[in-house]
Amino acid sequence: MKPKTNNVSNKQLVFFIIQAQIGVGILSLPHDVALIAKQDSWISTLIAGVFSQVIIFILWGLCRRFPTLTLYQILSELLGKVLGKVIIFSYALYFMVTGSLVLARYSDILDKWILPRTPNWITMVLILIICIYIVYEGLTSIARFYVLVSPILILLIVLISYTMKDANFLYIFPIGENGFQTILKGSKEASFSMLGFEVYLFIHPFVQSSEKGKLKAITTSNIFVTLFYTFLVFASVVYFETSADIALTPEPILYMIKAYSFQVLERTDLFFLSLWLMIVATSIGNWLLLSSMGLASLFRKKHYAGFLPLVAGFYLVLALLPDQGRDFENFNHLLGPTHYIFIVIILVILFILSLVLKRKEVVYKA
Amino acid sequence: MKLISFIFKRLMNRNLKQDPLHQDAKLFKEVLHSLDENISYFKQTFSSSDDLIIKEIYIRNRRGTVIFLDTMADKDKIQNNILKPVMEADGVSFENVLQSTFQKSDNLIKAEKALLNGSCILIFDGLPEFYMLDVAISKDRTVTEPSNEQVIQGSHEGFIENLMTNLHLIRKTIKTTDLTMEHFSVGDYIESQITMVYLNDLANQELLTEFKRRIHHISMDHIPSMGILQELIEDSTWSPFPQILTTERVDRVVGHLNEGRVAVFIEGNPSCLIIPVTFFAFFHSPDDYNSRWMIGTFIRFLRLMSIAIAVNLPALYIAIIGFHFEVLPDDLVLPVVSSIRNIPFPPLVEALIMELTIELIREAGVRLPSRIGQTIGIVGGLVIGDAVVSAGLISNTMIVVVAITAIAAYSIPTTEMSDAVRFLRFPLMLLASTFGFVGIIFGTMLILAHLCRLESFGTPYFEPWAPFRLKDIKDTFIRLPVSKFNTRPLDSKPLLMKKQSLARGWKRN
Repeated sequence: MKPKTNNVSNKQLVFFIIQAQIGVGILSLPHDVALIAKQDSWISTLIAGVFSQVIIFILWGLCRRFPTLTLYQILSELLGKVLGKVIIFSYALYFMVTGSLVLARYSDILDKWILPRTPNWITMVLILIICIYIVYEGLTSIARFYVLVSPILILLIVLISYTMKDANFLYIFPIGENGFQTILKGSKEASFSMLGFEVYLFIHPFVQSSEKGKLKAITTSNIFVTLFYTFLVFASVVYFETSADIALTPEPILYMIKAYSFQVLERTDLFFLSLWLMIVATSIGNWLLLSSMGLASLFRKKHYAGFLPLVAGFYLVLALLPDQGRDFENFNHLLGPTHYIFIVIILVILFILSLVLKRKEVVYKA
Repeated sequence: MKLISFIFKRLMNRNLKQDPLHQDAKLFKEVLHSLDENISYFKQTFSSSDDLIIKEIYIRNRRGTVIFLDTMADKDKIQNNILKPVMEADGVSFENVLQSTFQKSDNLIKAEKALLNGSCILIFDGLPEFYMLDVAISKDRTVTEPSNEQVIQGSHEGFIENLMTNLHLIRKTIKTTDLTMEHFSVGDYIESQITMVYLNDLANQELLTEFKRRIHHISMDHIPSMGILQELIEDSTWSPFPQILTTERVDRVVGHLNEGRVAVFIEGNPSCLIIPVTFFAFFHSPDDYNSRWMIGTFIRFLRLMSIAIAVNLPALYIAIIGFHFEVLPDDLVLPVVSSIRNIPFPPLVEALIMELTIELIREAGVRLPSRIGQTIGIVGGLVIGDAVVSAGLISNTMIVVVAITAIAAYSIPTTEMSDAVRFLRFPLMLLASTFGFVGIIFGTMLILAHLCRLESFGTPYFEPWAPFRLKDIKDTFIRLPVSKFNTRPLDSKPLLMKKQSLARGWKRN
């Protein structure tokens, strides 16, 4: 057999990043943001989108200087072998921890809403197996799958829009009551859910497009995700009375949908959750991909697929460690600053370094 | 995971080296000097088989011999087409008499093959060459409509077991110089002839070379049937989905050839392989194009729904009864509960019993002659279906579910795809009975991911859905009016994309 080419088209890149950004967060995001920013949380979400757009510009600028290298290769190129390896390892670790947090939250919600009596590790193993299967073959088939399942997002939007018939749009007033500071704090919370676009750093060499086209693609997906999240947050803000109800509903979107039933379908939330599972699978798949790619470049292996079972096992152990619910908060707080370090600070430093050192990959054009 | 793959590798790649079974097979052996030597050579190679007939003749005082296989050659033809003209010819050169189908050669190996194909060999004493004349008996079926792919409207021609007739049917329909046929022979011990047919100006060169490469690397003593050839050349054998389309319909093959695909025939088989194909090609029927486009689209949509139903419905039933009873609306709960209340089995067992029974009825019906087959249908369908409910073993709802599933699965036009779909519902049922809706979603995801990974000769199997291509949706699970088919589908990577410009040009003038 000919070796399979690992190409991703520009359109596929859009969906790749959308699927990476939208993950478990969609159920709890309105709750998390509204706890801080109250009725203005939809503004916070919008602002978070702007933040991530700024970061996207930085990472695009960095990638533009190294058009055929993934971040892992850029690291060892810019920082030298030893330091590069250390940072690569910490990136892989960071992705593992983030991924296993996603896994833990997924199984927590599944436990609460659908399968209360099934042991958590079984549902985790199940989704890990499926994610490995999705990711195993290479970027091309991953991208195909992500595009294939993307219409689900539209279905979710339709479902949520349906609940808007009972919304009270007066709940968003008074706008800006809590001051700009609180709104910014809320957007800090929201921006965690926007994460995932960093996958671009690792797949950009395989995208068949001009640099400008790539930027357009990530911007498109970021705009879509921002609007999608803003819509979710807005919907739950106008549906629940922010000051009282939202604090009681950790998964506001589900509570919203649960109230409705159709002619042939009673528990709409179960239907919604089933679709949500696909979105979770794509995001866990992404983290698996990134961390095993990291390990592969650490051990100088060409293909990452061999590391997938290992990484998945690590995810499982990490996700089973924290005591569900109580430790999540601590875990999340611990992870907060690391997000900044890995997604913002290191990238900015790298970008500046490459500018200062005038380091740039020379591309030979045939 | 690694261990399993390791064991598999050990089991499967026991000998990776490829060596033909008969290495001593020679390609050339020159004609021997004397006639008697030649005769004894043939006797020896055919182990003095009783159907090898060797007759000596004298023509113009020259000694010669006619050799043929009694079982393969037509004696009337030998008499009328060879002996009679040769004997009667006076002074005219020998070759002028034998007008149409003779070949000259000095290679005895070739002579052996020709004999096996029903030729008659003429050897003359002292001549360094011999003549091979095709006098094969033809006992072919007539060209009829294939019973497994019937259509309401359109051509009723189907392929038969004779390769040349099949090729004739294709050539007759596509009268262009671009239609190219290439013959290969595969099989190390018993050779079978394979013919690859394509349109030279459309078919992608890479596809052709890839196909030839795969055919070339086949090492097997004998390739008896289409199914085996298919399994030898398809991309992934670890898949329930067929990746090569088999059809017995001429119009179907012609349509696919016109999209730049390659058709493969094998001698002695009435079906034809079409490569590369996508998932959706298995849901098309020539009827779609002969009916009005709206109806065609509707029917195709129904077929697509039928996969979803056939794969998921029993699983859904199990999940709802076993896990998520609350999904049912209030009015529906009562009838369902009253029908399952007294059933002694859990829903999975109930569903498995009925689904397996249906499969058994099908299997029993296929092998039996049609008159007894009807009896099986009555016994299986009516007696079991009715009795099992009144005996209180299976619920009424389950019977409804099973019946709908069976109908949905059999509405898929190709047998292989229908088989695949019917097979896939069993793992999904198991998943549904252990994890409910979550299991179904996971199973579906696995199937979708598998479809995204599959490729057929370099073509993504799930195109145009994954990778998504809006332009090619026009002829997949919908069928737009023919005037919209301006480009060929991209999946076969045809050399010429454009198919038509203004199909309904009269409207513009």
